[in-house]
Amino acid sequence: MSTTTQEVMKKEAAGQEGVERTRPRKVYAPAVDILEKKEEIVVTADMPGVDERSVDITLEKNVLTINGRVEPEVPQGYRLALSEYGIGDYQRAFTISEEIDRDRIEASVRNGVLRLVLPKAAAAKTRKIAVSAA
Amino acid sequence: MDLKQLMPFSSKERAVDREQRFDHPLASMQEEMNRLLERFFGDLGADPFVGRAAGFSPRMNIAESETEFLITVEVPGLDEKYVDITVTKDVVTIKGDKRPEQTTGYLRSERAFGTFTRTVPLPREVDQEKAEARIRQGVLTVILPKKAPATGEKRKISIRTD
Repeated sequence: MSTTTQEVMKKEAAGQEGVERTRPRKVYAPAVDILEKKEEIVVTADMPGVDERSVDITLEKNVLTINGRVEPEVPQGYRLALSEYGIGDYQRAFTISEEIDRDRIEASVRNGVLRLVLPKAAAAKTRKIAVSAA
Repeated sequence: MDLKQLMPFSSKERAVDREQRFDHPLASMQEEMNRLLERFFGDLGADPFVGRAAGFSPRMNIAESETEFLITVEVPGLDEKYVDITVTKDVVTIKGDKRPEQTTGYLRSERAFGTFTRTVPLPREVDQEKAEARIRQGVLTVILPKKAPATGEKRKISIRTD
């Protein structure tokens, strides 16, 4: 059947209200997949140009924020002949529910993809409750 | 204007074309099925002969210096095993297949997966032998050195005065 080719367009991140940025760069909201597995929730974000040293993750109250810094990639002596994507930092925030075990959140970056593993707290996993005869 | 009017082959024309073929008893049944499916999916706007493969089109930037072209493509999560780059003297083709970790269980799905092909005609001839490519941090970089113009092509001739 007819399937269209998906256009990949970077979306600029909505700035946080009352927060002014100090870096004169564009900020994009990375495209994100959220996968639910039995024991954990996995968040993967497309952040081309970012490595493990240039990404910051903060968890404050219920809000998990990811920040990625990207350095300009057009070297000296070159001029841009075609520009389909903008180069800029990444930022996106997620609210985390109570069922996530905050202390065991893990993050890794590979091939420009940030992967966050959010383990479910023991209480949120399904438990079998034994029924005893009265 | 309706976008479909701009397409070279509209679905309507093809439907008429099909109705004129009755060469096999099963063929007409198949045509009927196709017609039903097309009525169902046809309004999605895509021509079945265009973009048949499920995929996406990654964004690319091209920088140019005196001596080379520098093509960068944003391909986060693309494994270098599934990239195929070919260069002729003035066209570079980049093909790839970005595979998802798993296909079910998504609570949210924004990232693009699938196959892609980008073909870039180059305004100058390049040295195929010296072309290089690498993937770093989800950015594919292709370096194509420009071929030096043939020497002696242009020469200034001084005029002697007697």
